[in-house]
Amino acid sequence: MEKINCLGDACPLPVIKTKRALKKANKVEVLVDNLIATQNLVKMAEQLGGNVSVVKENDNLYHVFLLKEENSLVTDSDITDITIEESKYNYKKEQPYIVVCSSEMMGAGETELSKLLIKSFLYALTEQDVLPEKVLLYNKGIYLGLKDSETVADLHLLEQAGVDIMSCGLCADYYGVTDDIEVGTITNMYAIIENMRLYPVVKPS
Amino acid sequence: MKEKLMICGGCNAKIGPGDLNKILTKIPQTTSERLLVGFDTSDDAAVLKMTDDLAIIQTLDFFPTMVSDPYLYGKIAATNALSDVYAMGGEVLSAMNIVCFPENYDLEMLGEILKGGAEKVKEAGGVLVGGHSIHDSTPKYGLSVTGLIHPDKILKNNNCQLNDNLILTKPIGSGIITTAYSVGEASEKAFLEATEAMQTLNKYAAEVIVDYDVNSCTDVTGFGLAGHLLEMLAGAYSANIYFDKIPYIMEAYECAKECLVTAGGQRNRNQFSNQVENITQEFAVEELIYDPQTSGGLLLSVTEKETDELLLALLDAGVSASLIGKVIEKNKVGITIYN
Repeated sequence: MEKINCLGDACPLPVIKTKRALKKANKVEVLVDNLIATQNLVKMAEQLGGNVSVVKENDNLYHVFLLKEENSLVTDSDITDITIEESKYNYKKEQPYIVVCSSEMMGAGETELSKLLIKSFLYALTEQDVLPEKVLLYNKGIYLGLKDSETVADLHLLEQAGVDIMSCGLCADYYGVTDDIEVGTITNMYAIIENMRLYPVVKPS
Repeated sequence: MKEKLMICGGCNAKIGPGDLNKILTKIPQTTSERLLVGFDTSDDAAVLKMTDDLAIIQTLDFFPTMVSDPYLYGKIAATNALSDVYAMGGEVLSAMNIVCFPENYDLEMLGEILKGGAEKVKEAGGVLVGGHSIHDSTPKYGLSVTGLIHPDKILKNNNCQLNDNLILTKPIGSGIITTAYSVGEASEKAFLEATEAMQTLNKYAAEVIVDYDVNSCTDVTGFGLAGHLLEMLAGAYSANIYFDKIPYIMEAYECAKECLVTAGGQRNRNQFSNQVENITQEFAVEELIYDPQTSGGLLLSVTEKETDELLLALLDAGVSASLIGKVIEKNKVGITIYN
């Protein structure tokens, strides 16, 4: 694993340095100091093919892990010559299912633990061999996709991998947070029911 | 003197639209009967009525360095600041310099910056009447500009009408190119193409459009084509735009494909992507419409009837102008991008 330090680097430097590192190593860990830089790295991985995951240590420190897919990511040619026709994300989507979160917590125990559990749940979800088709968020579940929430980076990652993230519009209105929804699209009860009817549902409850 | 400036990213340095809205709503409002366009509409400049046939436009813009050549930086920053007057449909009356400059830098460099700015004020037909400068850790430069306009001829940035056609006057992609160039990933040719557009005054377009039924006008800057178009649609309408009609710097498309993109572009994507549907399915297309522009062109919303004549008049005046899309009835997304 090649480790590169991009702390203090403005975009697109982290992307450029990461591409260079991927010419030499199959696995690269990149340190960046802001969420935007992680999003640009995820976009790059999505464009070039390969697997990527983001681990947030705190607001100013993120670890981005990139795994080069065999023969797909970067060749020996100059990095400006890279052209890969389409996204070759490593995630498979075989047995379709959806994930439904109706709360910003997982289970009904101590609040602190319950919040930690849902965070861990969504992180683990990004690591699954088979990703869900959709993640539906309603009631307090919509808070998982709000700007500055601890879970939004993982939801972004899922979205980048082709998972539809859908937040209940009525709920967002009710809690007055519509403008803070940072990931996915707004949905309604008809779509929620239709999706729950069509797919097997995984629910962190 | 061959000293160069460090690159800090022009309009890329703008504070994100979401962050800004959050605090702006909490600021106490002042008002005046003279105020025709103000704070509340997120317009490019304020307009204050003096008499029945005269109003003044007040605006200010400045930013950190986006190119390393001080003279070029001065020209671009001034062109961008003057643009807000043109986006309202007005003419430039006067301007003052705003300068932040490090104590330990060569003052000659500041001289070059101010020379570039002064030349643009002159070209705009305005008079440069002074300014204010302070020491700061990084250079910043811009202008406070006063313009004139007839109170009945103000072009708002959020007044487009159903079936209006959308016209754009400069190529997009300058944010991507200047940033990529600064790290050695874009060619000299593309850089010249971008900076040529960035130092072209929107004056020449503004002088033409005042004679036509332009319902809405804005200059495309930090929020990218997508952000400024959404502002124009104001939640009342939607728009279809056609990527093969949108002028862009060819190499910016290649850079976008390789993710040589800016933080500002990603911030715009985070803010606007839930209102944009990309039928082309091409990633680079999205990067271009979210790309923050420094001193970008004018985006115009004009009646169907006058579209052809306006386009011809713009081209006659030497302004590059393209019909890029149409205002349609509101649907579930704000902007749909077709091929």
